Amino acid sequence: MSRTDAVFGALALLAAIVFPWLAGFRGTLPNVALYVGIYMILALGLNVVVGFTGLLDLGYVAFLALGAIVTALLLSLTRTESGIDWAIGVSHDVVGEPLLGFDGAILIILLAAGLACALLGVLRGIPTLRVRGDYYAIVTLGIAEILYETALWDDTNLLNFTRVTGGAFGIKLPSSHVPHLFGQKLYYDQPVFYYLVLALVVSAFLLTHHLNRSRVGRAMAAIRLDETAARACGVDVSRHKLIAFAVSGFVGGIGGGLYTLWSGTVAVKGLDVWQSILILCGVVLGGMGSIRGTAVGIAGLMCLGELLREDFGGVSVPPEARFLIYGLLLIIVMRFRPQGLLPPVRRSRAVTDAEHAALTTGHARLYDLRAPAGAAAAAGADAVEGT
Amino acid sequence: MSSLLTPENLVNALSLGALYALIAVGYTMVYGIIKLINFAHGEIFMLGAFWALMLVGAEQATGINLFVAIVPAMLLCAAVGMSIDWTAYLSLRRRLPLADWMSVALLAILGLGAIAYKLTGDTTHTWHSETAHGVLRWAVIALVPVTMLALSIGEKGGLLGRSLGRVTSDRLSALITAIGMSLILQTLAQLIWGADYRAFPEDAIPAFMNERVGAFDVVGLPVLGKELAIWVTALAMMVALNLLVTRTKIGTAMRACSMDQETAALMGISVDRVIAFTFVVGSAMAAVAGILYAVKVGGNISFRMGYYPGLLAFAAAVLGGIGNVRGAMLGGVLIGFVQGFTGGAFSVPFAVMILVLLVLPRGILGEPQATRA
Repeated sequence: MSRTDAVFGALALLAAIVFPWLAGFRGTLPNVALYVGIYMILALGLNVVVGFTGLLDLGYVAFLALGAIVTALLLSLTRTESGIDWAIGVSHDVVGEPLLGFDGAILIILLAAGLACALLGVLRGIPTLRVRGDYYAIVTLGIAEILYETALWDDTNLLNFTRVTGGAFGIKLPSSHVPHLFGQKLYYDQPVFYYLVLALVVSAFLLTHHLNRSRVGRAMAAIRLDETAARACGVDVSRHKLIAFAVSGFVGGIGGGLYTLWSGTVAVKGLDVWQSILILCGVVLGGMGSIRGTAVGIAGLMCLGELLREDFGGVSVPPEARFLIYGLLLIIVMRFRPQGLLPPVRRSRAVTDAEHAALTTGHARLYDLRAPAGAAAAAGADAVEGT
Repeated sequence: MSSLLTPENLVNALSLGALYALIAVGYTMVYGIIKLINFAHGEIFMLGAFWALMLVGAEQATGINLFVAIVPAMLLCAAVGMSIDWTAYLSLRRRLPLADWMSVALLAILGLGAIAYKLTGDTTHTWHSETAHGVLRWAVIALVPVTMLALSIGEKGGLLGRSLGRVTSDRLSALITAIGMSLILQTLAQLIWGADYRAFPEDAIPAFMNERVGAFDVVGLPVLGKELAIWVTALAMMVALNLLVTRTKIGTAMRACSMDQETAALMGISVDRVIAFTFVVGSAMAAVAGILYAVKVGGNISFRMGYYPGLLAFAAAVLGGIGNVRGAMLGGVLIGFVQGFTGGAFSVPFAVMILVLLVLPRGILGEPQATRA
């Protein structure tokens, strides 16, 4: 992290901390801020696979949905006279105490949601290890569609998942089951919820930032640049891809859990492919592989979406037109700035002329370090950085 | 599962297979040449049905005959397909600064026009105006063919600015552009035609389409006239396409571009025009498939209509071996059978697609390749 990044990051964090004192905790602005924060976590998670590892994931919404469902289910576990029951569904009357109603239980629940999604990421990842590029995108899209259809499958003769997902109506969290943290209710208009989201956004930042800087992150970058070359350089491609899927899923699951807390309901029906595309748009617009870019991209996109709801002197943009604008933005950005608005900064510094001369004498001349980017060149530059 | 092996399902499977094959050839031809999953292809399929609906008459059969409407719908879809190539994908292959800006401006105008159309049609809105609504309707619909015409004339006359050479665009950017194009077309359709599910008016569909064909009763198959129409049309179009690809000069050029674009260019083939032609052919076939699908299912014409058939047709193209036209036909029929015999669910064909991608990434008739990037 460069000094400017650190300064900007600190300023942004400060702004986020004092923001509710100016805007309050209730109303449109704080609600938009929460919405942006939750999607920022999701986008940071997606960025691990799309940006760091270079695999286009079109089914990321599956993590949002699973994280949200796991959180809702765990929160609605109820201790009744006859045992333990799920208090899900709209018409289901809740009689009894929440099983996980103790203060701070939500942290464990969010962790469980994250771990469930990390497991989904690995399970989904194992069969897709072999496919690359476009085919990976299509496979993730296909798996997400299968999960979506399965979650809404209400045929009583076959597997019926609507008992768990609530079907078309979704799961509604009973108000008696809203969790507590530090003695306060985790409602969307409570300070504790705002700061929980903020803390988790910062954690997602730090997690992905350190992942990117680590040895694992460098292996992911090598896979992104050239998978065959990375394998030839001794990178365990499968292992690092699975790590990327697990981390991405974990972060997405926590984002999904916050989504449940924020909205109070989880309706799988609304969590379709468009959500995946929306989050992907944020990552792509900001700059794939760039953490600050992803954050700025998704925040800009969500704020733009909210802004388009406003009334401009009697003209309000029809809600469906938002995706028109997103599509147009995707095409324009891909054409004029395919690296995104805030592309990642090259981690390694450029090879100086002296180093280049020293390294390219004799046999080393074979390996021109200033050759176009490739895993070998990147590995070489990293080696120079290390000396 | 024996209840699924019924004659009804067999007929349904054959029809679905024929339709998926018609869409899949569009995917496979484009992928064969420019290595791009044209996500917007499903939207062309949807537009075909919508345009036929407009030409026939939305409420009653006041317009032209449904069979006659197929031809203008095909032409319009061909125009859209080609404009998609010119506006979105051309600049991923070649840098044409003026064309880049022009196409973005045109897309933006199209979007603003569609939004204005939506607002003028909303009676509760201050912008409500019947006249402006009517004018905008045709302006928005006409803009796509006009765009295409302007861009192709401009390209021919060298008016789009000097090419700054070929670019080998990142595959990821190309795919994201295609997703963006698909988003734009879907939203445009939603803005223009609304979110309701529609059907061709009852009196527009000839009576024989919903009657059983007596000749098939002998073998115990309950074939409706429309199913037979689908089979005959699909078969005729497949034969025609096969002749086009194997026997004509442009077909040879298409195959040459699919094998090696650079060499094809050196042999005097105008690669960009061949690619545009590929979009034209694929889009026209998708338009026919869209109309027939709407006739077959009934009451399903909506802006979302292209999504699932589009994905399944892509699965069909992969199953047959992407880039291979005959493979796409075979894959379409196989995917249609999988869906037809599993009660119409989408999950099973998707699962088949994933399995195929994992086990047989080159498909059934695909050429073996050393590596895939």
